[in-house]
Amino acid sequence: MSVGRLSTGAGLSAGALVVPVSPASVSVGSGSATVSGNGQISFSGASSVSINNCFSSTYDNYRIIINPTAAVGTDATLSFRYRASGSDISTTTYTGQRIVYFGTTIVASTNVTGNTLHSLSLISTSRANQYYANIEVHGPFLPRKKNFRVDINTVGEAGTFYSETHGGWNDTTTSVDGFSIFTSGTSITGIIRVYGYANGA
Amino acid sequence: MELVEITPIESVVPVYLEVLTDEEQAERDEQQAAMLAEQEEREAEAAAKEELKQAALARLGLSEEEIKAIFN
Repeated sequence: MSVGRLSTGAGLSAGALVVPVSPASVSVGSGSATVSGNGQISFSGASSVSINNCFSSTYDNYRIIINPTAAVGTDATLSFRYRASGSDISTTTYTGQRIVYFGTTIVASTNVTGNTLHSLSLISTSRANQYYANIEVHGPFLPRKKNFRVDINTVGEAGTFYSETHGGWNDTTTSVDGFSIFTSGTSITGIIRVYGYANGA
Repeated sequence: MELVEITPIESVVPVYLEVLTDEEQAERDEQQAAMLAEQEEREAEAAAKEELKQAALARLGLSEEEIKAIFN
């Protein structure tokens, strides 16, 4: 069995299984953003960050990693929406099931249908840089429903460690080419990286 | 919504600022308020469960560590 290697972007080589993906453009609801040559999206003071044309027929499946470094405003939820042709899909097409665990407490939500977004849990203003989201998106550009899974580590203001796993899908069966994340607080600063999984590897 | 280009010199792809109309901003504010309410509801549910657990432990006269030691 062959073992793939993680590409580092600038040093891309044939046979890489996980490849950094650059979007065609980025838009922010406030603040600013920069996309570097290796596809890293750095944003600052943004109420929302929209990544355009990062999904394509090149890869079927993607990983998105979100690392905030700061948040402004009240403790807030982060959320995720798909985009198509530069617009968010904000219809009631999102379904999800989540488990949140902290200390010895586990809370499982009922299977929520008809949402207008996928939740990315809570981000604390004083501990934003301890938030971490690792999203798997399956088949966003394929003509079928979009599978979504996210694992999140986050820390409450009092220092309580929360971990969350959230699975779900979106009913849209046409291609989507991007996504947005947005906060219910004022703004966030951080980094987003998008990777494609090589098909057939 | 209007897109205003704000691409920094170091960015390799265009970056835009979304400028919302008053109506779009109001709609977004409403959505964000709903999201926050959902989060608060979830936290209240978690806090209530934790409170119940602590009350049960107190009735038994045992600490959480002692309960774990018994059952694990």
